[in-house]
Amino acid sequence: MLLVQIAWRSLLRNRRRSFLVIAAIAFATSLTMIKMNVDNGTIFEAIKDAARLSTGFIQIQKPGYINNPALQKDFVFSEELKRLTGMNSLITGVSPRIEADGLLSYKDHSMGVMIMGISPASEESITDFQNRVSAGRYLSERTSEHNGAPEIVVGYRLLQNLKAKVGDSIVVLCQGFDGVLSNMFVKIVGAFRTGSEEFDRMGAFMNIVDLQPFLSMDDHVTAIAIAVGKMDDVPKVSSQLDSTLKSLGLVAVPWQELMPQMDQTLKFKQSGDFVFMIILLIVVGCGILNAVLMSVTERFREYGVVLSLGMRQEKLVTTVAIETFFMIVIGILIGNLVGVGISYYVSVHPIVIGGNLEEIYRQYGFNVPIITSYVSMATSILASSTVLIISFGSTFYPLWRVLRLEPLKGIRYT
Amino acid sequence: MTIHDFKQARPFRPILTLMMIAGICYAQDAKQIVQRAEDAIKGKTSSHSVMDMTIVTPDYTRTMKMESWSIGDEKALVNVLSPAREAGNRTLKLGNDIWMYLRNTETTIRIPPSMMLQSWNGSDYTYDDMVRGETLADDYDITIVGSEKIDNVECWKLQLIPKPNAPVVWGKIIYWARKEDNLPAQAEYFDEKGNLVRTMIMSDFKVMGGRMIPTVWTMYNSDRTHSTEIKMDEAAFDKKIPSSIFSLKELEK
Repeated sequence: MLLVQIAWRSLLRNRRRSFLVIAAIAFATSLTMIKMNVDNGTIFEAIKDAARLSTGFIQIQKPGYINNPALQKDFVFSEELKRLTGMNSLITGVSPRIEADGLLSYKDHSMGVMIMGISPASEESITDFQNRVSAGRYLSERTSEHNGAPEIVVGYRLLQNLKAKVGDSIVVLCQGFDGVLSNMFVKIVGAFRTGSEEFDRMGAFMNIVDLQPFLSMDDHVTAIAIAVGKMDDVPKVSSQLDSTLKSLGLVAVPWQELMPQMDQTLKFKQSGDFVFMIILLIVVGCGILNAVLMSVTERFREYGVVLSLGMRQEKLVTTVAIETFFMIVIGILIGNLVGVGISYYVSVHPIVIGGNLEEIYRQYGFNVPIITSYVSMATSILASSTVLIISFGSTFYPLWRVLRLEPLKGIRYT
Repeated sequence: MTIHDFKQARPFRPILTLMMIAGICYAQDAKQIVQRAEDAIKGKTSSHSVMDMTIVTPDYTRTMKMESWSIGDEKALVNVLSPAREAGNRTLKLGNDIWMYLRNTETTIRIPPSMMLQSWNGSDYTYDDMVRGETLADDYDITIVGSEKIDNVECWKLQLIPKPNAPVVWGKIIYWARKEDNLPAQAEYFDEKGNLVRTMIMSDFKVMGGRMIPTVWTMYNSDRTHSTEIKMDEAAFDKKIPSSIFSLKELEK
């Protein structure tokens, strides 16, 4: 107990010295934490953008649909499914879909197309296609009682390649559910620009109620897209749905499988982030080592005196260790406060990169890139424990020096 | 090998030469078999036939009745007779281009190059199969690799390896032609990696249109989960067909 008291006193005795060491540790902690939070935030933002641009976070499908998307892997969006998805409080949106390959033809031009049959009203909770319309308008809400010609919204590149304009009637050709080659006229009501080259060149939207009779699918769908409030909820919701879906012969497919490219890109980014993190940790490790070593070596004369007065070496080392421990704990606590504070601020007020570029980005259909962060308990714990380990590691050498200190040398050579 | 060895080998040279000549003759034979087999089912100048196409997939089975006309390898027209929903849909091939006439919307669509590998009318045939101008006898090196019985008929088993730079899609074809009349009985198509891609089986050999032909052609995919059977109901060969029917104008009539 005496040793603790001595340690605490020597901590307070030279406040500037203690402050420097604590500051080094706090800086290391908060920097590591902010880096982790910003990495996560950026990744989550990218996933959210991608999910809102195409697949949604989760899809209910027939098993095997993901690898071989055929119209025949269909199912009914039954009352039971509606109840199941509606009851789950983590789910923020549910929307049925049909995806069909086909061909669009206008005068002398025809192009292969991936038609997405959606339900415009409920789709808004999953994706923000309605905000990507670059010409004309979005699909109107229709009921299954047909009113007017079926509508289609096509990628702006597709529209260019077809040499068609908004307002033209074009022919759509698809192989239906029963293998029959069906064709009909649809009216182009708008064009969209998503920033995805492939989608702008190949994609088109139609109302699912127009597509179903065209493909002889009755009220069947090929997928149900689901949105959740928080990224973290995806695995939870998936597993909650899975057991009931299994009995219906369906599966819940999370975004990682829906967008394997996205998943891979992120894994690549994460490994890059990891390397960067190692470099960061080496730098902060050296900083801490330097601060602790400095605070110990400058007191060698003092230690020499204490040792020559008869203090046992182990006790001295213990005192120094306790002192450093105090500084590490205080440093990490302060670091946590600062780190969480800054991370939280950035998550509430994301930093928009580009400034004037914003307009150009929007024009090309991209979301404006932002730096944001995602605050979580996990990163705090991870960052704190990493810095703790590094700090202890950096303390070994100074402590070893104290342990080997000879009283006379201490007095004389410092 | 030293010069001495060469001299030693000399007495055998006539034999070697003989063997080489024999090999060439043999190859010539093989080529002729394939040539005859292909000619027998194609018709030298033109053909006209009515057929049923039955498509079997794990999800559905359906039959379409179609009438087709062709002149040489260049021009072909297929008109769907039934089912009612597709009746009147036509496919026109002119050289390397394919047009589809859709009766429902009364439009003609030129199949874009990017869609050429898609299935034609949901069958196991692609648009590309219809326009590809490969001639087995000229584009492949053909060797006889054995004889086998197919459907109780003795057949030559031939191996076709594409000649370098030949404009073909297959890495290898194994071809069975009947010994008695050189008609094709079966063909297995492999990709460059040597994987079986599809199998064509010819059966129901009958006299039709004045000649003996296989009247049922069945194409299976690699694992035989899909198949497309074409059954000839009527066929006529080398009759005069007005070439005016192979035009976009006629197509939309």
